Amino acid sequence: MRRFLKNHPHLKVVAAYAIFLSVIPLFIFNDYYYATASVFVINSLLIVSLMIIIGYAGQISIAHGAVYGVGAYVSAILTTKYEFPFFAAFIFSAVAGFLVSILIGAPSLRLKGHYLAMATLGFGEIIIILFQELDFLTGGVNGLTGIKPAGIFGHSFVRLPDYYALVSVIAVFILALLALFVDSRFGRALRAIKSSEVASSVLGLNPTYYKLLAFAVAGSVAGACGSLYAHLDRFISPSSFSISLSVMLVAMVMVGGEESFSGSLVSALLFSLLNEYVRQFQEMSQLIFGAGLFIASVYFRGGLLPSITRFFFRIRRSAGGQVAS
Amino acid sequence: MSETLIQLVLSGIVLGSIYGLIGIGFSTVHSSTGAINFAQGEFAVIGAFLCITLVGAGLPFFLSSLLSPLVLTAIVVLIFVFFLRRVAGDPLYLVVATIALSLIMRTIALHLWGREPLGISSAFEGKMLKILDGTLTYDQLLVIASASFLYMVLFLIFSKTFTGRAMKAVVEEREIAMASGLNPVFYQGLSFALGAFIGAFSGCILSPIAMLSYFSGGLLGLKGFASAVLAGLEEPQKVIFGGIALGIVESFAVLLVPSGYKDMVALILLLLVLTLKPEGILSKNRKRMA
Repeated sequence: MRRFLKNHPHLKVVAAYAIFLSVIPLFIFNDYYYATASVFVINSLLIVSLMIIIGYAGQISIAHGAVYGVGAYVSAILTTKYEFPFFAAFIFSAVAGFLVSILIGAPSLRLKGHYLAMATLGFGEIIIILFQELDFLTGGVNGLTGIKPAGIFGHSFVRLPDYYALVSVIAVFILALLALFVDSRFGRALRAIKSSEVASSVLGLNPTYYKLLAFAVAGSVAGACGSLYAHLDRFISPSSFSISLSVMLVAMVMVGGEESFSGSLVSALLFSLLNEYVRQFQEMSQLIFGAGLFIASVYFRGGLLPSITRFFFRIRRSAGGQVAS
Repeated sequence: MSETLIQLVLSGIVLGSIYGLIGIGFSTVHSSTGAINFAQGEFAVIGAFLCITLVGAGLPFFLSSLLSPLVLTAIVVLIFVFFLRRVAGDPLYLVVATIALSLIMRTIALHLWGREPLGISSAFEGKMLKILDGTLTYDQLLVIASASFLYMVLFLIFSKTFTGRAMKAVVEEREIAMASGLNPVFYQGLSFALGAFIGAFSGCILSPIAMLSYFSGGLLGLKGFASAVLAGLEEPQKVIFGGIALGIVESFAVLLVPSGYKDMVALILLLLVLTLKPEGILSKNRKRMA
């Protein structure tokens, strides 16, 4: 057991996160904050999954918000129009995210860096146009209202505290799977390919397979997140999944440190608190995160939070050194 | 039937000239830094909004459409000198910085100019010219005329002047360029300035023709990028033709698909070219993009 934990260091992060989620209700006194907390949990999953594409596979996707949207629409349409049970719709959302994300990742086999960024941006815009134009399914620009609440085994999660509990359990489960994935040979293979495609193909790793795997894993998680979001507000519209959201997600990954699992979680928390603080100007948070991304990319390559931690460690070490000498 | 065909070609050329101009901005920045400027579409939108504000303040359209690009260029040069300069040699971080810049500019545009789409009335009291069986407004003619003029100027800059060749040299042969006394950062800044000016100017001449809103920069930028990719990103002189080709394809697409899907045509074209022939259709280079 101890050895297992040693080989899977990220499970500890997930455990800490799970404890954090279970403590949150102690500080919440009304339903409104349960909704905010649920959005925070969903965002953490989204950011960690995008972090796998960016930090582990070394690719980029400016369509992650759109994949999230596909999951939300699939779940909303299946439960509301076709009477699917929530859990089945949730699985279908993940499958839809999986398929769409593989499609988005396909150009990554031939394109690199900013060309790939543009290609995924193009995909994202296409998906959003489809949300707007397929109005017999998606309700067009007005979106879908009256989405059924989630229900499992006859228990309906209408009350927000209940729903928060459901989202937390699912999220911790998925995060644990992601942690296992990241620490498995797949995760190591991804990092190997990121650092040198040629060298790793000499070792018998197939870059095509692993790159698509990263997109597929991240896409299924994003699809699942979409489903969780659709049954939270029970209202979705194309503007919830705009390109700005995708850019913000990239920003949050960069702020958290592009290879940092725990950084992604902290960045999600930071973002949710910020969003809560500037609620009356929703776009203010975009400005602040835009500025954060800008500063992070210009001054702190490798992430804002890791740079800050390094900075504090350096202070502590140098202070300790002075005492010793 | 021939009437509509000619009209479609004409309006395709007009829109395509705009896409081409925005595309030139991508191309100049790319040829000196090796990166893509994701804020290029926002340059056009902010340029258009500045121009609309100036016209609203009582300035004549022509003055505003020169003043607004100058103001934006000044701002972009400042941003470059203070921030972007530090990452100008590192394409990937430069790209992320411009992505952030686009988010910032979009949000600022929303705060300053609001959610509603903006436009201005015709600069020529809606006068029109008949060409064969189609008509063009004077505003549209202005687009074509200024696009051709700018195209010729850029053609001369890039093929005949030292500055133009230096802009390309600093990314392709960085060491040699530096050894021969060129300062890469200067030429990179210059290319950003040029991109900002052309982008903002194309926004200005677009504003009498189409309404723009604070988020229009995304699609405009993608279409400009698509024209640049069609032509081959490394060749600023050809981008305008990529733009016109894209504009014509897009206006003919209206015959085949419902108008709501019109924007998808350009995007699908972009994806196809990027995956199948990333060096560009009009380009003779057979270099693989990385």
